[in-house]
Formats: sequence, C-alpha cells, structure tokens
Amino acid sequence: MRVRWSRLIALALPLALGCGGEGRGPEEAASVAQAELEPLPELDLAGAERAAREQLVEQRGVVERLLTAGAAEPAELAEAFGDLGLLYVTYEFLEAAEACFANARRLVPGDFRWHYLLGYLKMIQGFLPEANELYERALEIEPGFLPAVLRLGRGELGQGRQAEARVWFERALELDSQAAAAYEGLGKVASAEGDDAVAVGHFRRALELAPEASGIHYALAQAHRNLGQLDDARTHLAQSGDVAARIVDPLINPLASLAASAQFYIVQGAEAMDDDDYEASAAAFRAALEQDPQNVSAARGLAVGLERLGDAAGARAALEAVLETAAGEDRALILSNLGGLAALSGDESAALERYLESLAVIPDQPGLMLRAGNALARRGRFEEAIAQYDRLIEVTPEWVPAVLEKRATALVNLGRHDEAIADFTRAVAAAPEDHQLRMRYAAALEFLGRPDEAAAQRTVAARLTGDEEGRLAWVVESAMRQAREGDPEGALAGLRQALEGREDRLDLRYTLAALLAQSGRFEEAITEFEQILAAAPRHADARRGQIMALILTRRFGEARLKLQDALRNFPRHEGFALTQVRLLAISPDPRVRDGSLAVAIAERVYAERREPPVRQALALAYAANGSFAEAMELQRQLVREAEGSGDAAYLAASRSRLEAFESGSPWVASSPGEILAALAPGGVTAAVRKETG
Amino acid sequence: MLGTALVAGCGGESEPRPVQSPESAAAGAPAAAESGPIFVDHTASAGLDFVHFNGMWGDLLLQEITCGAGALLDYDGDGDLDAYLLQGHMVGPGKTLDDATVPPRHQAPLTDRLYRNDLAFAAGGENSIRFVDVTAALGGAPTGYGCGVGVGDYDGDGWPDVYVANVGPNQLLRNQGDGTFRDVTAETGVGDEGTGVAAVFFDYDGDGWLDLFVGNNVTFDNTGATVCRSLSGAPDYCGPGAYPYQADRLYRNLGRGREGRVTFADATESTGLATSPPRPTLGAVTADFDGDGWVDLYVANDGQPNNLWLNRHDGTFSDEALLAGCAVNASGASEASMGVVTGDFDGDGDPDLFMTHLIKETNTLYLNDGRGSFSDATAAAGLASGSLPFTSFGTAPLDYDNDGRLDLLIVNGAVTLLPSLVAAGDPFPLHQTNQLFHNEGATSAGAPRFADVTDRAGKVFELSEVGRGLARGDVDNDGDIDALVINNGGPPRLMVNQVGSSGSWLGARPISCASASDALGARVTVRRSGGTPQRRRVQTDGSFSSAADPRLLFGMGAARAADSLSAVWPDGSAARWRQPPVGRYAVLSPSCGRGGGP
Repeated sequence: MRVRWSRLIALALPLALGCGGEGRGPEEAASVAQAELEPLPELDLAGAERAAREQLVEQRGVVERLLTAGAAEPAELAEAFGDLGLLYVTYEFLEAAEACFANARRLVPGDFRWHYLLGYLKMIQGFLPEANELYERALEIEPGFLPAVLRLGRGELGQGRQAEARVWFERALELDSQAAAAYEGLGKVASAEGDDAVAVGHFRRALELAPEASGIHYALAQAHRNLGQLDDARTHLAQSGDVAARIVDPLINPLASLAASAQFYIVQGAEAMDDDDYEASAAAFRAALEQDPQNVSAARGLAVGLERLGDAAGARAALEAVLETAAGEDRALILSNLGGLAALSGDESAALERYLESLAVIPDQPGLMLRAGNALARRGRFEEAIAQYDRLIEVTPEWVPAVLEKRATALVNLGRHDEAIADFTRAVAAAPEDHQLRMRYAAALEFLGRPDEAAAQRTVAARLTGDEEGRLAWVVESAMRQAREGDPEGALAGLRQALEGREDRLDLRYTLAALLAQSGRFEEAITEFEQILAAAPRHADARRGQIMALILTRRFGEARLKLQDALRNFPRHEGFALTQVRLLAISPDPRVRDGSLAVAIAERVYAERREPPVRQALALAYAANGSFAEAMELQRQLVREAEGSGDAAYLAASRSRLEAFESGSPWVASSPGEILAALAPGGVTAAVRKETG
Repeated sequence: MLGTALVAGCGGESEPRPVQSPESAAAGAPAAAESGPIFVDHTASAGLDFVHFNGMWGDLLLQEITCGAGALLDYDGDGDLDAYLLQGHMVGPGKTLDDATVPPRHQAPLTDRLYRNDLAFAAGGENSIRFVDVTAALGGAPTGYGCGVGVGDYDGDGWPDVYVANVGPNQLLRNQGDGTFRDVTAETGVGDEGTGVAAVFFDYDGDGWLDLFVGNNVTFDNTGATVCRSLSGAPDYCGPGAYPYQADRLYRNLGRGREGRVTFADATESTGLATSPPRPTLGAVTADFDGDGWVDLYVANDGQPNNLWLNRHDGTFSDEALLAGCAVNASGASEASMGVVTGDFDGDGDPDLFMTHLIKETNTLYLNDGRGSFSDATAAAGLASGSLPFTSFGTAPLDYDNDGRLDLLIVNGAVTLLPSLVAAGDPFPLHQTNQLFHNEGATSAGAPRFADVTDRAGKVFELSEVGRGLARGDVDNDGDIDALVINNGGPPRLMVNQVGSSGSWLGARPISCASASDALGARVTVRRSGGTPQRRRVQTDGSFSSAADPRLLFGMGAARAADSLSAVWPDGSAARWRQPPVGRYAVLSPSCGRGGGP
C-alpha cells in the first residue's frame, strides 16, 4: 500500500501543481486516473494582506512538500488538503477549496469529514442536491453527526421538499432533543405546508432553546400573521432579526478563527455590530488588531463596541493606540471619535478641541460639523456655533430643519430673539409635518414670552400626530411639558394612561419611571425600573435610574446588590464601577462599606484611566481600607488639580477630604448625592457608531 | 398603428371591432424547431452598435460597476419598439477618457443613445429588426452618467416621454411628437440630484396625470478615500454600506397649468415616503398589491429592508412591508435587492413579487394572498439554489413560450471580484452568465414550480458578461417577448425569442381615452375555456434600471381562441369583449367621456 501510495503521489504532483498530464505513458496515465487528484487552481494573492498571503502560501507549501516527498500516508496528505481547504473557505477561494476537499475525499474516502466539508462547500455555492448527496454519504460513515442531519434538512427545505426535510429534522431531534435548529426547521416545514398553528408551536420551542435566534421571531411573526393574530405578529416582528438557530458544528465553527487577515475579523466585527452583539463585535475587532495593530478601521470598530458595552476608557484607549501612526482622514476620524467620547464623559473642552482638529482635515463632514457646532454652543461660543451651522446648511440641505433649530437655539442664547424665531419659522416651513419640531418651537416661544404663538404650534403638532407613534410622542411631549410647568401629577397620569394596553412599551415605561424619580416618588420609580429590567436586563439607563433611586432613598444594601448585578451585565461600565467604589467606601451605612473590595475595583479602573474622577474614587477607597498614605498621596494630587480648576467648591471638598485622611479618618458621605457623583447620565455614542459603521 | 382597435361601448360587452388591418404576424407563424434555441442574439444583425462605457480607470469604484440601463419604447408611434440606452462617463475627479481602462467605443462627447427600430415585416417569416442610431434626435440633452430610466407620457400628449436617472441631476426628456426630444427638467421641476437608479411613472393619486417616483442609491465616493477589501485583505469593490444612503423622491404631477405647461411638485414628505430612513434603492415596481383598487409602490433596497408603500387613498402611503412579509426574506434577513418585478406567477389573479439578489443570497419570490400579505415561496418554487452562485440584477416576467404562465429571465454580473477570474488575469472579473427559468405550473401547495432551462435557452446564454439592465418587449412584433439585456462595460444583447410565436397569443394595448397614450395601470384579464384566467397590468416599470414594453401579451397555450378579454382602466372605466382576436395586438380604448385625465 505504501509503495503504491508513494507512486500515486509522485504521479499526482504535476497535476497538483497545474502542470497537466501531457507526455505520460499508458501505465502512468492509468495510475493517475486511479488517483485523480485535482489540480489546485492558481490564485492571485498579490493584493492580499501579508499575513493572509503567508498563511495561504505556507499551508499550500505543506501540501506541495508532501506531494513532492512522495512518502506521505493518504491520511496525512488528506489532512493537509483539508487544512488548506478550510483556509480557502475562510478567505472565500471556493473553487480552490473544492479541489482540496475533493482530493482529501479521494485520498481517504472512508473519512466522513471530507464528504461533509465538500457538501458544505457545495451548499454555500448553491448546489443543494449535490450538497445533500455528500451529506448523506457522510452520514453513512458517521450516522450520529448531527450537523449533517440538520444541514440535510435545511437543504431539502431550500429545494422546496418539505416532506424530506421533516424526516431529517425529526431524526435530528432523535439525536438531540434540544436541537433548536431542528424545531426551527420543523416550523418552516409546517409554514411551507400552510399549517401555521403547528409552525407556531415549533417556533416557540425553538426560541425557548435558542432565544438569541432572532430569525425565528420573524418566522413566528409570519405564522401569527397568517393566523390573523396580528398583535402577536407585531410583538415578534419587533424582536426579529436574521439570526438562525445555530448549528454547533465542530468542523465548520472553527473557520471563524482560522484567518490571519485583519480584514476577515473586521467583517466579522461589523456583522456582529449589525446584530447588536457588541461583545462579539469587540472580540472580532480585537482579533483584527492582533493581526494588524495599526488598523484604523479595527480600532474604531473596537472603540464603538467597547463604548456600547459601557467601557468608555477602553474605547478611548483603542483609539489612542492608533492615533500616533494614523494620518490624514484616518487620523481626523479617530480624533472625531475621541471628541465624541470626551463629550460623553463631560469633558466638553477636550471634545471641542478634538472636533476642531478633525475638522481642519475633513472640513465638509456633516456629522462632524454638527457635533462641532453643538460643542461650541455648549461651551457658550454661540457665534462660532452659528457660523458652523451656516456652513452645514450649505453642505447638507436635507439637514436644514434640524440645523436651523440648533441655530435658532444659539440665537436665543445670544438674545437675538427675532432672528431665532425667523430660523424656527424657516425650520417649520422646511419640515411642516414634524410635530416634534413644532413642540420644541412651542417651548422656545414659551421661553420667549409668546404663549399664544406657542399654543398655536402645539395645536398644529397635535393635529399632525395622526398615527400611533405620533400620538404616543404627543403624550410624552405633553407629559414633559406638564412636568416642566409644575404639574407632575398630570404628567404621570398621562403617561400611565398611555401605558395601558401597551405594557411592553419600555420607552414609555422608562419615561414614566424617570419622571417618578424626578418627582421624588422613588419607591414607585424603583418598581417601574424593575419591570423594565425584568424585560430588558441590559437596559443600562434603567439600571442607572434604579440604582440612583435606591441610593437616594438610602437603601444602600439593595443598591450594592444592584450595582453588583449591573457590573455582571456591564463589567467595564465605568459609571457603575465608580459608583460601587464610592458606595463601598463612603456609604453612611457601615454595614455596606467594604474598603478592600472598593480598592480592588477602583485599582482596576484606575489602571486603565488615571483621571480625576477615578483618582478620587481610589483615594476614598484607600482611606476606607485604612491605607491612608496612599489615600493622602492621591488626594494631594487631587487638591493640586482642584487648585488649577478655578472651581472653589471642588477645591474645598478636596481639601476637606485630605484633612480627614491626614487625621486618619475615612471619608463618610454626608448625603446620598455624594455617592452618585460618578453616575452621570450617559448612553450610546451614536455619533461614534454612525461614523464607523 | 399596428394591430386591431377595440373600443368599449359604455363599459358593457361588445364585439371586437377591428378598425385597421392587422399587419402583424398571424397566429401560428412558423416556429423554430423544438430543439432549437429559445433566444438568439440579434444585437449585431439588428444594428445595435451601442457599447456601454463605465468610466473605470484602475481604482475600484462602486459607481463604475453599478449602472447599465435602457428602455424599449415606441417613441415615434410607428408600432414597433425603439431602444434608448444610457451611457456612462469617466468616474473620479480629474479623470479624462485618456485614463480609461477600456476606451469608449463611441466618440466623445458621450451621451445616451436612441435607436429607431425600422422593423421590416415578412409575411409568414421572421420579421427583420433594423435599429438606426437616431441619437441626434435627443439634441445632445442626455449628458449625465445614466443609471436608470423610466418611460411614460407625463404630459398626456400621446407620446411616451423619457426620464433619465443619473448619478447627479436627472433629466426629463419630453417627446415632442416629431421624432425629437427636448430637455424639460427645469420647467417641470423633476431634476433630483441624487444617484438615481430607478424611475417609475404611475398615477398614485388617480387624477389622470402620471406621477414620478425616483429611487436613489448611495452617495458614491470616487476620490479613492473609501477603500474596501476582500476577506483576504485584497482591494475590492465596496458595498453600499460604505457610503451614505440617499432618500428616494416622489414627484406629484400637478397637471397642465395656466401657462400650458405640465409641472411636478416634490411630494416625498406629504405622501409619507420620507418617513422611511434613506436606504440604497436599486429597484422599484408598482401594482395594486392589496387589491383595493389603488396603485401601490414596492421599493427594493440593497442590503436593507424593502418598502411596500401601500396607497392610503388620500394622497399618502404607509410602509407595510415588514408585516406584509416582503421587507425581508423568510429567514428575516434583509437581502441585497437589485431588480424587482411583479407578475401573477401562481395564476391566482394577484400581483406577486420577484426580486434579484447578491451572490450567496437567493433571488426571492414573494407570493401574494391577494390582500397584500406575502409569503416567501422561493424554495418551494425551485428558485433558491440556482440563484445562489450569481449576483443578479435585471429580471423580467415573460411568458417566453406563450403557455400562459410567466417565466423568468434573469441577468447576472458580480459586484465583487470573482477570485477565479482574477487569477485568470481577467481585466473585468465580474462577468457571469444569464439564466432562464420556465414556469411549470402550480404545485399542489399552490406555489409555482420553476425549472432552470438555461442550458437549452441558446448560445446567447453562454455569454459571460456583466449584466445589469433588462427590458422586455416584443421587439419584432411577432407575438412573443424578446429581451434587451444591458451590460455594464460592454455591448447590450438583443435576445430575440424563437419559440413563443409558435403558439397562439393575444396582444393588448390599453390606451387612455384622451391622449391615446399607453394607459399605465390598466388591468386586462383574458379568459379561455379550460384555462386559468390571465391577468396583466400595463406598466413600463420593474426590472433593474430599465423600462419595458407597455403592451400586454397573453400566451394561449394550446388554445386557439380566447373566450373573453376584459379591461379596467385606472379611472375605473371597464369593458369586456367576447372572443377577442388572437395573433395580433388589439388597441383597447375605454368608453371616453368617463373619468378624467389628460
């Protein structure tokens, strides 16, 4: 066998290298026919990333060396072809991959993997009948290989053969009664056969097993719709996406981590972000940066992912890591993103600086112009903001209503009221059906002492809110106006009424909860926040609101538990981390304090971001833990920083804490608000994501 | 005018009344042998010497591979279809024709081209198509980088006008009825400056004047600053997600004003179309999807959910695509929708939807339940696996064999570099072959079943080109549907049908009352004993970037006669004829005096 195999390889070599078979004698030709190894197509890798090119060349070299040596066992050569084929699949060189798997299969036809992988390749190229034949062959050899059974079912479904598909999905359930993909498939079979009631049952079971499979929500919605159950349909449509029940596949799943090109992981990261899976997105962008540490796209993607996960410091670090080497537009975009992060952290000065630096390179980027204008306005530089808005109106006529509104607000601040009203009038003329714009215009008119005109705008706005969303927006606007006008009870009643029959509207419930908290009705607010979190555990704003309400009502123990839970969900959320540190360090309730734990958390955050808020939290933690020397050192630095800030209250507070530490006393909060200093409102860096996305 | 005229008498039943001798080929004209090709390439023999110039110069810019558009229209009213083909220009700032990778075939300045069909009739034989380049008739007007075209008689003067959607300002070319066109963009107010790829004339408000939908794609970045890569990191063309999406535009036709000019107003906001976020539109098609008697609009977007704009009868639309089941496919995934057509594929009387997609996505068939609820029937119809290896653009519902069922012609061409072609050193490694699917009839579950008949469709289907646009129409007036494929960076292909006219057929051209122009939106039903009623709607829209023959063609299968033909005009006028003539086109005119209109 060995001798014959070596001869086979030797003869196969010219074919494998694409040299053809001309000039062979009859005996050789017979041997080659027996082997029939397919030549691997030549690929043009000139434009590929170096890492990817080297990876592909190296693995191909393995195959070619084995062929050249002529002494390899069929299994060894098949493995080499298989590995190379998987790489080709990863980079989507599918014809080359097919040749590899075909050769592996010919070399070791008893190995189910080669039939299966070749089937997979046929499947992704759309050759479903051929794919299914190969899957069936794989199953003859390995009858218990569940992925093949599930893919056979999907393949039959793809050919409109429901009865055959059902057989495979039912067989899959015999192999694994918890296979969500099998229930999903049976649901689709039932749907295709018009049996929507049965489909609903299967889809529901699939969702129980794979709640992340958003595509099943869509299928379920369609089934409900066909049954006339429109409310159920809408509920599932609201949760729908395109993620199918995952097939756990030991042969295919590893493809996701084979590549050496940064681009491969960038694509993965972007796709995960589209699915709102920020953990996966960040992981993919990190992998891209491992391949290419200076890749700006990967760094910006990672920053977006981390920011969405509440890790602003990590996002900033990711951007700063590539800032030095980036040039031109890349550098400008990074600066713009850094500006967004600075704005989120409340550092308006830094934000503005970044925006302006970025604008110097890409002056006509509308999103950046708007953010710069807004930052200028927030810094009170209204004239410059107006100039920025004027440029923006020239560049993006379609943004005119929104920009005019911003411009009008700046003009109000400059006391140029007539011009402001003129801008608002133009904005409303440009977007006459924007009821929310009219509501804001009404608020401005109220502010300017023109209540009759304000009322007129509100009346028009009310008339415009014809549809469901419009009515709800009107209810919310009205409630907020009532609250501003000193009628919180009226506002709350309106919101509660709006929620009737719409219990799943978390946005409405959040508004209600926030208004309850603002009105000092913390207990009710806590209950409402809890309901939101029961439905959406990753609702960061609801967590923040609930924790604030618990601390403000001095329920420090519960707050500590909620913070622990929040950090489990958002492990890198700086706001939650620092609030927990402060609670553990300076809580008025001694039963809640835990200096050691406070130090551990604070040191972790401080290692990543050595800025005053974190430094303060760490100093308080050190003091609570009895480490006064460390606490004093940090606090002295804070005092020096406070001296340079020009903020007298901040300086006084810093000095008081230093005095306490110098006297060997930990700091204890005088009010709950002191604990909440780090839990500023935050949210999503939409601007960062939009730019990067 | 070719064919027979049928005039409705007060909306009741009447006998067909020929008013002019038919000159068309009679039913039962000699057919090609069954083993012969279904379509034959007549591009060169017909004198269609156009070559699309895409402006590529070495960078990989999405704009250069997006376009390829044309229209089949009878601009001179002589009863046969002429061809309007859109041209490209250099892409990228500062680039000149000297920089082009492939120099243009036509002399500068490059403009769209108009070809007049001087069809020669051959009694008992194959009609002879002869296209004559009459681009001078355009007066040098079409100067933009053309990417989409719509055809309709916007001013109700009886002559079809042409709206050219460009990358940049669009142009409305008014057919002056004397063989020439005039640019009336400024005076009509329809010069949208987006990246237009779809242009659809339809009367959404029922006032008798054709309104205009313009589908816009993305804001291309041709500076080279936006670079995209394949998974191996090699430079490749970007997808739409790399660029800002553009909003679509809907213009309402205000009719003829006091000065005698027809003008439009931007109704995007007032109709509710602005409630959808901008998406990269590539296709659009109209039909009464929910069966309420009002025309609706379906918009196909590239990689984003599609829109089903249902007409709310008050001058507004609402997007119901998601609940209706036609925003995303059965897996809940937004697909890269390119071309879209509507037709009654399952023969149940309502308009279904078929649209083309990217490689590794299926093309998708959505079947309508008659009330505007759709189900993805792609797999059941046998259309899934065959489409996965291709990136498809233009498509046409055409009953190529006149058996009474709508078949599908699909035009393909990739949008990212194909590795095998790159490795082979191909200078334009995007080309793919086209496909033809035959409708085999409904299965027991009700879905139609299609068979891939590309292998026997003819040698023209062996050509591998970068297909984009596709306009269907009976170019040789022999009673079967031909097709004009418009390729990017290459010549078009005039595919002449060799088999359809071997069967019995019935043609219909509903016209509007006052202007005698094609009555876009009119619906015609043909009934024959033992057969499923066939329902068709007059439209030039659909496919990708292209405009089609508005005439309706009904294949009669083995039947030699139809029992009846009934028509409903957009203004509600209706008429029915018993035993309409077969083997010719009948001009259908409503009972004038009812309804409004130009």
